Amino acid sequence: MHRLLKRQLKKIGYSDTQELDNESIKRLLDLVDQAYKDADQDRQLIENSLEVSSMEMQKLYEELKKTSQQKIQTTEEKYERLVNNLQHYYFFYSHGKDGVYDYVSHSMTKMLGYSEDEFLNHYSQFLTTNESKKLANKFKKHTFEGLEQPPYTLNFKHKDGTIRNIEVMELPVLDDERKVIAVEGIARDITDQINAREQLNYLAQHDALTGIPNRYSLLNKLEKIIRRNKRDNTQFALLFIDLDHFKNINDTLGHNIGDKLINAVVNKIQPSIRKNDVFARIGGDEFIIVINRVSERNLIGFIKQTMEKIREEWLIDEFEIQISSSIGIAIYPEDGTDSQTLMKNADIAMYKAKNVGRDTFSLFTDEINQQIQEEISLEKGMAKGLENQEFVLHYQPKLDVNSNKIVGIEALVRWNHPKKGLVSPVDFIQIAENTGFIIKLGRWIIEEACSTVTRINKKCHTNLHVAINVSARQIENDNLHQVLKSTIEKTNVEPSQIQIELTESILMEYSKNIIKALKDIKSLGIVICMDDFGTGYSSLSYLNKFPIDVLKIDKVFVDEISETNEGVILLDSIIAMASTLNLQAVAEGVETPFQRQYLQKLDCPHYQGFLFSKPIPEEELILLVQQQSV
Amino acid sequence: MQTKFSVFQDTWNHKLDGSLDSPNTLVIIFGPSKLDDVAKGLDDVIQAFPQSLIMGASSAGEILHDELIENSLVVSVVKFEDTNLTLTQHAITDTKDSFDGGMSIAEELFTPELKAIFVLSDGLNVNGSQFTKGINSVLPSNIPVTGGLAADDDRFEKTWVIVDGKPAQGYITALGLYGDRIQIKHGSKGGWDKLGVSREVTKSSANILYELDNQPALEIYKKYLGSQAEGLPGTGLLFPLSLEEKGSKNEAKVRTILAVNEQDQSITFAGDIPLGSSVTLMKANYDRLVDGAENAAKEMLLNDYKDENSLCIAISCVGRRLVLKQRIEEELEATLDVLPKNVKQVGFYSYGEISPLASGKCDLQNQTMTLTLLWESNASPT
Repeated sequence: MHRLLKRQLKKIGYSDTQELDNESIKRLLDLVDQAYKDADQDRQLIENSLEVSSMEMQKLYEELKKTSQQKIQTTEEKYERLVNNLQHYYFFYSHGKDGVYDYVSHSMTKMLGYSEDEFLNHYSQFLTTNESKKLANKFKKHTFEGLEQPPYTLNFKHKDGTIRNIEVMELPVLDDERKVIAVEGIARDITDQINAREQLNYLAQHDALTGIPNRYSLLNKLEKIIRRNKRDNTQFALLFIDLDHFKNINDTLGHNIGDKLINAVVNKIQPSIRKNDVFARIGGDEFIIVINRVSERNLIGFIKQTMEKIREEWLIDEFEIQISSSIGIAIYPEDGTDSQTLMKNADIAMYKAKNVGRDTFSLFTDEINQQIQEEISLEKGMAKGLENQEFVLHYQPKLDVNSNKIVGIEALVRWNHPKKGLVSPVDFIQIAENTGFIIKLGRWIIEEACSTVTRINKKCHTNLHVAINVSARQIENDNLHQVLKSTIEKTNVEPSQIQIELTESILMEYSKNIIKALKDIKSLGIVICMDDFGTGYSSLSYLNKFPIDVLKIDKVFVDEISETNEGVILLDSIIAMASTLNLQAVAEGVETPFQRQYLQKLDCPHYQGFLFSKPIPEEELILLVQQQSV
Repeated sequence: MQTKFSVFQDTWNHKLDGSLDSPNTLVIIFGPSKLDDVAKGLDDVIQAFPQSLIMGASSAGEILHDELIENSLVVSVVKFEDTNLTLTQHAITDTKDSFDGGMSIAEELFTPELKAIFVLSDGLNVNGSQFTKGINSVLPSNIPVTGGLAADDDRFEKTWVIVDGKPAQGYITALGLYGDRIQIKHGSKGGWDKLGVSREVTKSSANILYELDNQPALEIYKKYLGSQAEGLPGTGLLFPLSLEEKGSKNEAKVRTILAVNEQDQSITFAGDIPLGSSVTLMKANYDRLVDGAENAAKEMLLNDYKDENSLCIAISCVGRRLVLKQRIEEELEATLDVLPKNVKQVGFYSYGEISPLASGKCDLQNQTMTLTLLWESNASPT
């Protein structure tokens, strides 16, 4: 029974055992009637409220739809405005999974000059480098793998041919299942930024006045140079250059002139700086030069050249300016293994140079400094010495092996230094070679030697010849042919009495030009000797190639000859070969009679050596020659 | 604690027993707002209980056990053994005095021994929200305050409460219960479903609502009521409002209609409708209303109860009665089904229920079944 009916029956006092009277039935019917009416009313209320509520919902839905559509439209318009504004600086593009470009915004044409079709169809042709192509492929691949990518830069060819740096940022387009189906990208031209950055970088590293590296850049480069030299176990030199009294120029002529002078000095020095070396300006008139892998001798040569370049008379605007420089030198690793120490020590050395009177240079390490200063003093003294007739020639006789008669002499130079006494050629010839003084000295030697042999021959009625050593520099830089020719004329020497001695190494180094020079000399009637044969390359081929007449066999082969060691195969062969080639052989450094006898046996025609005489002055030589002729 | 119950309908169902009359005796009367038919019964009670404290309120239906009785007096006599009682009242001449009323009552009753307050108030001239706020401004939240607003069937014309032994309009009456043995439990549940869209209160003043979403509120109600709009304000009870205050984390409150004003298209509610709140119409769901009553009883968690003689005062909203109609007693049966055997249930259908929220602060509720359970524990006082 329904709970309500049960309650209604309870209201009329109904029980199972009791019969209902009319009154009760009437009351029950009223209750039931009321319940039906109530139910109808409830239903109507619910139906009505549902309808109202549903209408309200519908209205609300329509309003929401309208506002959301408006919102979408507003958002789209906003997006379009944004994109249109951005298009001055960016362009947008997309491509499918096959890598085929399907969209590019108009702004691309403004930025890269191509039509949209050109871009879409030929995109990859506009990537200028393989690196860019690889990069684009790599990022494309990663984006399709769903990886988040940072922006990257491609080198892109503008239609006008210029290369543009295009920064690209790509994002994957995902489908509902979050699978990548395409790629959208934003690109912008960052060429100007990159150029500005490079410009800034350049300014940060270069001296604004001269354009050469500044202190900051120098320190960076120096770090690298130190690392490299440490690794290779090599040396380098750091030069601290300061212009002498530069402040006076600024003070009296103004900074404008000072600046122009600095610029002029830099322009003058710059060309002599090698690619891997450094030339930097670190202050008003202070410069640093770093020279890698340089020998001491070349270093000093470079320094002197540099000082000479600075020492010239400068014409700045209408002013004639005379300056000089003081240079301090520190050598890695002796004088420091880090840039700070090297620069500090070079600075100290520079002050040392200033203290000794400017216009000079100084090494940081005293020992080397002293040695070099000594060489310089020798060098300075040489020119003076020639003027003061401090140079003399000594002569060593050349003899016939069989008769032991003097057939000729070799002229050997000596320097009778006023303070140091007799200086050996070993100590000054190389310096003279380096400085070029050898040319002046060489001319003097030729003239002196020729005069001497003429004098002796005249005095002693002999036909001696004189052998004169010539250096590479003389052949290279002097017109030796002309010098000899004029000497012959001047001294009346017989050309056949002149022998020119050259070393193997000179022939090898200068072989290209030397053949002609030697032929010219030989055409004068002068005899050509190869000195110290056997110590150098000892190549048989050039014995044929060069117009050689005499072969001087080096002392080392003669030293081999001793009573206990009779068979000296090399010496035997050289003498035999000379004979075969029709060259006159001269054995040098013969010290014992046994050696001479041995040479006699081998038919070596001439010898030189202490067995007979060491090099001697002209007067002593004359005595010897006179004795023999008696 | 001893209890006795009598019903007057033309005559008493059994003779009034004055033997429980004492200063520790509370007499609670619920009856119709129109006194003509029950005036004699009321006189009988006053004569029979000269020493007792008498409270009472007009109703929209009186409750005794699982029965709804109409046009009757339901009298409960409760004699406490060890509980002191203080009864006080406050006259409300203007709705705006509601807050002060609540405050002065709380001040009057509050002592350190105070265990609970039970309130019966005029149902039309009191703003229940302001009144409970007034109480909360004085009382600590561990003292429960329960009760209800007097009703006038579905007429909304005139309500009364008993003041000095006589029914009177425009008063709040409140009983303070003091002592160690007195135990009070309470529970309150609704059971209404939200209907349709949520709307914003765009014009309101205290408990008067003018506009929702810039539309006249009355118009919306009429649209929903359809032909039953003629029955306003009574039929307005079919669609209470669920109210969520702006920025508040508190549970949604239910507000019910007290009056309508055709002239300014406004609706007066039993509690405040703050501007900016969001409200949703609610509709009845028969089963859930009954379940709600059952849940109110379950909510009381009677762990301390040891089968003592006890009284359950059930105050249910007139709106529920209007919806459940002949089936109204189902909710009375539902509470009794849950409550222990020794619990006796009396009560009335009201224009508003007062009971504590989760925070412990009391508040005005609408459309709920609100239960207050009283007993004196058997444990000897220390």
